[in-house]
Amino acid sequence: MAGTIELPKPGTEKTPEGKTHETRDPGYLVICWNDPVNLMPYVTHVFQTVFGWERQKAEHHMREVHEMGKSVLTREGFEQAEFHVHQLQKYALQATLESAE
Amino acid sequence: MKLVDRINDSLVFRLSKGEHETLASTLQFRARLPRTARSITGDTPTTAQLREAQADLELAFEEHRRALSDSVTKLLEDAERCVPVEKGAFNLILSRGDFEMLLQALNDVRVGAWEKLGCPDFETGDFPDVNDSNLLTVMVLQLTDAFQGILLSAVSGDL
Repeated sequence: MAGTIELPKPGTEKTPEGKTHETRDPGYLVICWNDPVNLMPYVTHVFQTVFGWERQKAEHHMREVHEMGKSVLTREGFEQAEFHVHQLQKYALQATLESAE
Repeated sequence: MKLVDRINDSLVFRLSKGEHETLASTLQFRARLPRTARSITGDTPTTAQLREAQADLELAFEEHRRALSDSVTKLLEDAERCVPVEKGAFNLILSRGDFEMLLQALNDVRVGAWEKLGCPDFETGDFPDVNDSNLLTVMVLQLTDAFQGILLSAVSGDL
């Protein structure tokens, strides 16, 4: 996409030469926890809307939440993780961010 | 309430007069339900960064709920988005943004009703005995289920 700046992933940074190397920042995990109230199609829809995922990927994470009790949705820097938690909680999903350490 | 048309990126739902009033009353029921605090992290925030994030979340959540309530009220009163048609029915024209807003507002009511019922675990068959004092809350929970189902069916596989 023209004009966009690609940010390095958590745990990596770019050198002035444009190479990527590992750093000590492990980033944060965005986790969605199971709850008995939100409908499964609703959770799938929210994942698609918030992360722009294909239905199949969204359903995979929804099932993980439902069957395993939680699903790690993304690993990213603090601000982006915080933003996603806000978005998910606006839909009343039980989402938190946890250090990936 | 049913999907009757798609215009560009908008969805058009036909609501009878009774459905329109039921939807409005269901959304207004939010004011009678508890508001549970939200947490930014699963543990107690231990760092200054997390404490600040928790405060930001609480502030953002309150503002969001207020805005949500105002927005759905305006939506259902807006004659350009909730258009009167024959026999007292309405065509509710939802842009993608309005659709998400209505879905969030309904779910906010749903979660509030569930919390008022004591957070029963439906998956284990846990459901409170229905009595005179909780009948309305149980019905609101079921109504949000029905309205959400109709909305989600309209966009199933659509994103």
